[in-house]
Amino acid sequence: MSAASHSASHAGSHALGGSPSKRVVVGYGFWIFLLSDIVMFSAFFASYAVLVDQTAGGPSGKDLFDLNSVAIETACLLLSSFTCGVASIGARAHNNLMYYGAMALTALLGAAFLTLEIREFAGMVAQGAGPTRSAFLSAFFTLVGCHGLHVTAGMLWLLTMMAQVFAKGYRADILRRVLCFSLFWHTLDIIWVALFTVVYLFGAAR
Amino acid sequence: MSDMEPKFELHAGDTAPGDEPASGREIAEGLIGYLVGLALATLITVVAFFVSQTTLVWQPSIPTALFVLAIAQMGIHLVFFLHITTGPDNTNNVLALAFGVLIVLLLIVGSLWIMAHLNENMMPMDRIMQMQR
Amino acid sequence: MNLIWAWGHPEVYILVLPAFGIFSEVVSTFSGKPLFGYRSMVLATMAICILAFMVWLHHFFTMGAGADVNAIFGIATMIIAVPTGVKVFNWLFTMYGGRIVYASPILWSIGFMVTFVLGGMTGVLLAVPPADFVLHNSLFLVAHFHNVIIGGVLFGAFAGYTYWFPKAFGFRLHEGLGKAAFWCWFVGFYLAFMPLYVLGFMGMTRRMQHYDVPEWHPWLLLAAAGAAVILTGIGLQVAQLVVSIRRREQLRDVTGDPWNGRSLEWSTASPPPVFNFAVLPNVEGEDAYWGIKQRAREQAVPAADPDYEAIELPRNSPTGFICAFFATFMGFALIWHIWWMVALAFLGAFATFVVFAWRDRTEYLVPADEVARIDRAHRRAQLAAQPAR
Repeated sequence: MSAASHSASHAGSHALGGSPSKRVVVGYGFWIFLLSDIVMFSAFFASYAVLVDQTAGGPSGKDLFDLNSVAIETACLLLSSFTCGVASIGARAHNNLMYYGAMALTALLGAAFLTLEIREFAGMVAQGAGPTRSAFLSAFFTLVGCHGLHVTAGMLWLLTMMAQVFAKGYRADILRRVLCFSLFWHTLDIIWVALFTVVYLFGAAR
Repeated sequence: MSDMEPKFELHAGDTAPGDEPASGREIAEGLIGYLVGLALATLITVVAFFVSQTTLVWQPSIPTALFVLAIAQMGIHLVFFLHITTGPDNTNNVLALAFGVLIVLLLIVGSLWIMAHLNENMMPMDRIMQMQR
Repeated sequence: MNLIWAWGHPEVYILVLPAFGIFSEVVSTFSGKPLFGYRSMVLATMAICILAFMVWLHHFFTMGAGADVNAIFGIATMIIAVPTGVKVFNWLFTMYGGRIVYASPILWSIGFMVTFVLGGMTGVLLAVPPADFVLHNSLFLVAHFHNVIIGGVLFGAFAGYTYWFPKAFGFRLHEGLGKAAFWCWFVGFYLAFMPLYVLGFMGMTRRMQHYDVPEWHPWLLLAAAGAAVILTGIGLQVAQLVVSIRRREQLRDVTGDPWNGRSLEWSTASPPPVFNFAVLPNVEGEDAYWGIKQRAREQAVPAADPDYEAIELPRNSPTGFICAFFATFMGFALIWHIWWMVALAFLGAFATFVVFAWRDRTEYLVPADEVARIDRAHRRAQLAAQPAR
């Protein structure tokens, strides 16, 4: 074993037969985190499904949900998932225009999503349908709000990653973070699919 | 550290979730995958919103239809955006996913089942309140 | 209620599975044999992992979920006894025919096997919903879960503490005091908790502020005596630690392999160097270090010096501690709605994290000479001790 290959094995980029590369290890670790995050969401989904009819005489989903706004939110998040994918291709290809452009678009779409969601929440609270109104609304705000918080955290991460690539360039460790960020963002979109189906579409059809 | 590592870590044996297993890393190739995913996901989303509002379909079938559409869309996201495949380099990712899905199903189905039973068998809340008074 | 136990039941298995791992190491080391049924051990662990998520309702059978729900969760609970039984039999077969060295880690393991099986069986009893309707919230339940948690997790932790203490700190714990502590714990445990099973059958419930049933009194006195014996055991453990630290020179572990171990951590010095292994060992099967020692004995010539190379290690960083400091404030502020503190603490945690992420040098190099110097010293110590072995 030469000195170089030894340090490479400690850095973890062995090919066949050795330990997998750092990118695989980091990605896999983050994947497990995301799955446990999804398990946490499943507890909120279960609570929501149990409590959805317990409106305590207050408004139900049918009275509150505005499907047009939800459709726009869905479109924003779906498109942002796509632009996030484009950004990860750009990062891999070291293409500045593609990376920064797509990341900026992702940020804009995420901000649009959050604005719509905050407007929806504020409107509901103003109508007296805040989280303290009924068990249904507590479950609703916990579930949807938790997703919203995840998106907010994702936005912070996104901006940090843009700054990191700007300051450090497309280094292997930075690219690993971009990979994790894109996994996170795509997963938020998957959770949103479950969310708009279970909460909004079921709620409005009820 | 950075100068010791290759610019982009190529690897054999395993693929990180989110990475594409194919060796071809041209921009166009990657873009096509995301575009197909976007198109399919958009299609399903539009159908789901349409189905939930329409009166053209037999009403009791709508929840099932929405469920199926949501699961299909999650599958599309997994395949086209997260690049989870059935290839041997993805075994670990798929196994972890399978375990996660199992726990999610157990938790949601179990909770709904248990809580429905408890809801049916327990005294109504106002009567419990009266007893505690 | 539903969600806390959906989390809480898998949690108790997460509690005990590491203890099971400790017992597997300890039992095979002190029996001088490889672990019996390694594959079935792994499969049993995975089966427990999955089944653990399917039994949570057994914590609230009496809430009235109805016969079918109770039956399914009751049966799932009983099924967990199967992989657990596989494990117990594997440990027994590992010991069977082995030359058992009765050091204190294996005393804890044998104590565990007896106690845990007993606790497991009362658990299966509680898993029968009609029985649970009688025993729910009684001292029988209290006795059951202490039986599995003390007999399983705590004994496992003590076995692991005694077993790996020399590896972590470079000297062994005092054996005599350790054995005395074990016997106090073991006898004290039975004295303290067996009466609780009886009391449970006599109808005593848990969390009582006072009682006025004369028939319970003798059993409770017996349990109190048992608690005193356990307390003596705890005292002996404290004494063991103090005495061992004072006599650390006599108890020094020079070779890094005080128990004639089988797994690779015993091939390093005690305490191990920062880089753990000077040269990455080539693992060809279970009990890797046993195989290496076996081959070395056959060849009867000390292996030649390997080619030492520089080793990269991650730099230390206080980031986790500082982030946790800010996060604690944030949690406190969120609970009490102190919004300015939430914002401030969040910014602090985030800024710490970004500073950490901005580092350019995340690793440092231990030069090859340094690696060679440390490893040669360890090899000399090993060689010097060899005739004695």
